[in-house]
Amino acid sequence: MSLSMLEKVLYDLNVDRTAKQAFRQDPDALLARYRLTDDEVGLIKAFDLHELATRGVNPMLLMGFWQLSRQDLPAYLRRIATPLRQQTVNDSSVGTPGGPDDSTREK
Amino acid sequence: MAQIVGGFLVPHDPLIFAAGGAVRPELRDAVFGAYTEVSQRLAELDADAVVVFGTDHYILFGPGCLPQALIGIGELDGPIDRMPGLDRRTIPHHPELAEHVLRHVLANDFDLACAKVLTVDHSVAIPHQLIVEPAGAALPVIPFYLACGVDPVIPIRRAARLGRLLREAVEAWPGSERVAVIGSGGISHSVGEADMGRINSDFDRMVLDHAERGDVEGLCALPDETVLRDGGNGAMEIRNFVAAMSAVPGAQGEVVAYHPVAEWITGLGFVQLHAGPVAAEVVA
Repeated sequence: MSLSMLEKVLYDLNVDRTAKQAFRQDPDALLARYRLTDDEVGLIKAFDLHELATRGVNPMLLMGFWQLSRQDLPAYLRRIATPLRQQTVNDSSVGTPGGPDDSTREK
Repeated sequence: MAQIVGGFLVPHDPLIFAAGGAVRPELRDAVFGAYTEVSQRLAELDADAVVVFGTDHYILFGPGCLPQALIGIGELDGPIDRMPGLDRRTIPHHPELAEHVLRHVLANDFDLACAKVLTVDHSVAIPHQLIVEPAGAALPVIPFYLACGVDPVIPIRRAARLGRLLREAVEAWPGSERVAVIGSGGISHSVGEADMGRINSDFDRMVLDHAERGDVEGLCALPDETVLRDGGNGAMEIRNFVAAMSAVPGAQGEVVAYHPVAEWITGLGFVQLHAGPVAAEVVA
C-alpha cells in the first residue's frame, strides 16, 4: 500500500532469519502478512529492483534483498538499471526464492 | 578538565574484507597500511576514549524507528554484519562519560536518541578493529550514529552542531580524559544504485581540501543535491566528517592517505585532525 510498507517487508527480508526462511518456502504466504497490493507483491516476487528503486525503496535494502535471489553483483546492477521487461529472458528468470543465503546481516 | 585531543576521518568500506582479493596486493596493502598508520597516530595521542561517528546502513534501525542521531551509552559489541576478517566481538565502552555527553546534549536542546546496549555495524566496527583496538586493546569507544544513508538524513548543520556539543560536553566532564574523535565514512561512492562503482576523485579532493583547512562551513554549504550528484548517495557520510571536525578544537586536517579504489567502489580518504587554537567559529 505504500513505500513505507515496501521498506518494512524488505527490511525484514534483510535482517529476520524467520522471514527469510518463510519467503523461500512460500513467498505468497509470507507477503500476505503485510499490507501490500497485488502489484507490490509481484514486484517483490520478481525481484524487480528497477521498479522498486523507482518507487523510492532505499537501495541498501535492495542490495540485502538481492542476496535472496542467489545472483551476483553484476546481475544486481543490470537488474536495477533496466526495467524488468527489457531484460533478457535468462536474467529475468529470477523470481523463485532459492537456497541458503548470506545470513550475516541477521539480528 | 577532559579534552578532545584530536581526531581522524577514515573509511569503513566493507569490501576491503568482503572483496579483499579484488584489488592488486600493493593497493590492498596500502589501504590496510593507512589504517595502521592512523592507529599508530591515535596511540601517539595517548587517548583514554574514542568517539566514533558512524552511519546506519538500514541494518540497525528499521522503518519502525529511524533516529536522526543516536549515542550508545552502555554495553557494545559488533558488528552485526560480520564478515570474513571482521568478526563479532565485545567493544570496550565508557558508560559514565557517554551518559554525561548524552545528558549535556539533551540539556542543550538537541534531541539525541540513546541506545542502552548497542550492537554496532561495520561503520563503527571497522574503525574499532583496525584503528582503536590496535592502539589500545582496552581503549573504550563511545559510538554515535548519524542518519546519512536512510531518508530522512540528518541536516548537515545539525551534525556540525552535535560535534560542537560533544566538545562542550567533554570539556565540562570533571575527569581528565583525553578523548579522540573518528568520523567514519567513505567519500565518493554509490551504494546499491545503478551507478554503483562510480568514483569522483575531483569530489574527493574537494572534500579532503575542506578537511585540511578545517572548513566545516564549506562542507555544510554543499547542497545535498550536489553531494548526491557528484559524490553518490554514500557521500552523504560527510556528515560524520563534519561532526568530527566540529568536535576537535581548531581542527586542521592532514591527509594521511587517499586511494580511489574502483574495485571497492569508494574514494577512501584518511585524514588526521590536529587540534589547534580555536578561532571565532562560524555558527553553522
